[in-house]
Amino acid sequence: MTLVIGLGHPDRGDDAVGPVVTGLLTPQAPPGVEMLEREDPMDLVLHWGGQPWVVVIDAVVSGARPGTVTVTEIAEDGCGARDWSRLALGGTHAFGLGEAVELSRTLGRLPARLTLVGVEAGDVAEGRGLTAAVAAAVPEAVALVRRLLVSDATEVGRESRAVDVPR
Amino acid sequence: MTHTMKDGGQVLQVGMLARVEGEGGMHIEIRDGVVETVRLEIFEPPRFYEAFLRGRAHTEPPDITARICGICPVAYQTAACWAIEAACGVEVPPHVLALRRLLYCGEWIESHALHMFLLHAPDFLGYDGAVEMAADHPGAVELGLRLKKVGNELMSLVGGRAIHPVNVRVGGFYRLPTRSELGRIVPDLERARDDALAAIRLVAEFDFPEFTQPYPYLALRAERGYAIESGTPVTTSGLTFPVSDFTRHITEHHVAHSNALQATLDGEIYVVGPLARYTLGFDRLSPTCQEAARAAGLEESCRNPFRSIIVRGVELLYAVEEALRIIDEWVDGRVAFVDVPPRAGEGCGASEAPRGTIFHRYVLDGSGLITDAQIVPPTSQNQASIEADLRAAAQAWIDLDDHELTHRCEQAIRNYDPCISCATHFLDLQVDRS
Repeated sequence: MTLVIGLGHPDRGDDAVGPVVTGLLTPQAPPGVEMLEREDPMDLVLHWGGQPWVVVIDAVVSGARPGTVTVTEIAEDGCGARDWSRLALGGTHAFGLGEAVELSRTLGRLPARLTLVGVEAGDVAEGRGLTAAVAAAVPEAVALVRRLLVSDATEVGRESRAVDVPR
Repeated sequence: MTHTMKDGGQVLQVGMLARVEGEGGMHIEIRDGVVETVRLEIFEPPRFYEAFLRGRAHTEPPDITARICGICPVAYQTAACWAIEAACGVEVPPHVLALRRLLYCGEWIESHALHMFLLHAPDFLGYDGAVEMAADHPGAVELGLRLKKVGNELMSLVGGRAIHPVNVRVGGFYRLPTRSELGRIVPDLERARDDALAAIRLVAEFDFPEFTQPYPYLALRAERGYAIESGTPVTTSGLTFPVSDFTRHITEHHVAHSNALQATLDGEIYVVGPLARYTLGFDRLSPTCQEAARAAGLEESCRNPFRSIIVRGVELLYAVEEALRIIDEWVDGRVAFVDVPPRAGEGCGASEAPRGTIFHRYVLDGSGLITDAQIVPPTSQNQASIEADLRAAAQAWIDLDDHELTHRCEQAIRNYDPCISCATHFLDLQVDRS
């Protein structure tokens, strides 16, 4: 079973891009793929533990142009906590996707493979609706995840560039 | 950060407090072994919610005020509904009240689990945070995560969202969940009941410093059960007054070092929150909760804020039990809401947020537009008592080295699970020794 998680708050501008993408993917989900939408990154620790492959779609802030779609493979000892905190958005008490990954790593609950499809956010102010740049990137993100799920993931991974984490 | 002043005094300062919601700090000045100045500095910018509620429709406060906080939106929504319904002279049917309580149980479970295991427990076990604690205490962290997840799921089920629910409206709900839908969460809640009991046993083993709060406690007291979604304000000093008299007793005032208003009860420092609710409502807890509290070493009154982590565990257990009871009694086929036609007037509402009593007051014109709004969140009310606790704690433990003293003082703040975002609708620690 592959788990695809759209992470983000539906009513917080571009933070909604994760759920928007999974919402479009759900009607055509390939067999053996489960779709989830979650607002709280803390929930992921229990959801993804023991899974062979988890794809998370989330709004990120890396300094790239809004709407830029990137793929990052999170290896067992890949991104460090500091890198993550610069990438991931959302969560309360500063608990974002990065903290969820690091807590999972400590607890031995990381999935065997974890892929982050990041969509660079432009605006995460409260209120419904994606910015034009992020809305325009949604078809690309949907197509990319679909290709990830149905094709040789290694090949897709080669086509995508790694996220350049600002330091 | 610690530094020595030119006059020989010493400053203990924490620029940005960790494991609290929002942005604030602490500043303590010590001269000749005496704590002189204590400030809980709240620099998160004010957000002016009360001002921009003016001119909005009477149907909007539940959705607008929910956005003040990602941890306790239900507290805002519920108090807002009560206040608007009071202004319009409308009473909601008992099943709406029950569903408000069920949604609120989700918020209590979510918030208390988060604070107990991911924010507060690292203080007692000597870790910087939950990630560091997880390496040595994985079971405790997973227990907290499981409980929080159940709270999130209950919020999603009843409120439509785990954060900032969208199903609440003045007069009731947009849609009622069915008995079948509610039934799906019962197995998780049953496991959460066992987890909550285990959580109480676990935190009861922590070492707690001796500390006694002398201030009056204020909490709501409901006609039946432990107050969650509604009730009448009562105090340990013997006061009972209707919610509509809240501002006759509670006065808000501004202090220069904080962007959040502070509050007093008839001119005195007072405390709201789990210790106040527990001390004023122990008799309303279920027998299982009372037994678990006693087994954890609590008496019927608790005035040691460091033990608030046990009280939160007891309240978490109560919320799980209540959720199971409400779901068991749920009947399908009832109206989701009652109409709340606008009329000119003033209405007040209060509920018990995880951090304490929250109060809303709205004045409406004849068309239902809001002409005045007032929101008194729990962290504002507790600011003065947090500073008083800090002063007492710093003085009592003044012989500790600066690192230990700073840690103990930060812990004294986290005892309150302060929500700075709420208070600025509102932390950083500075200790100054001379």
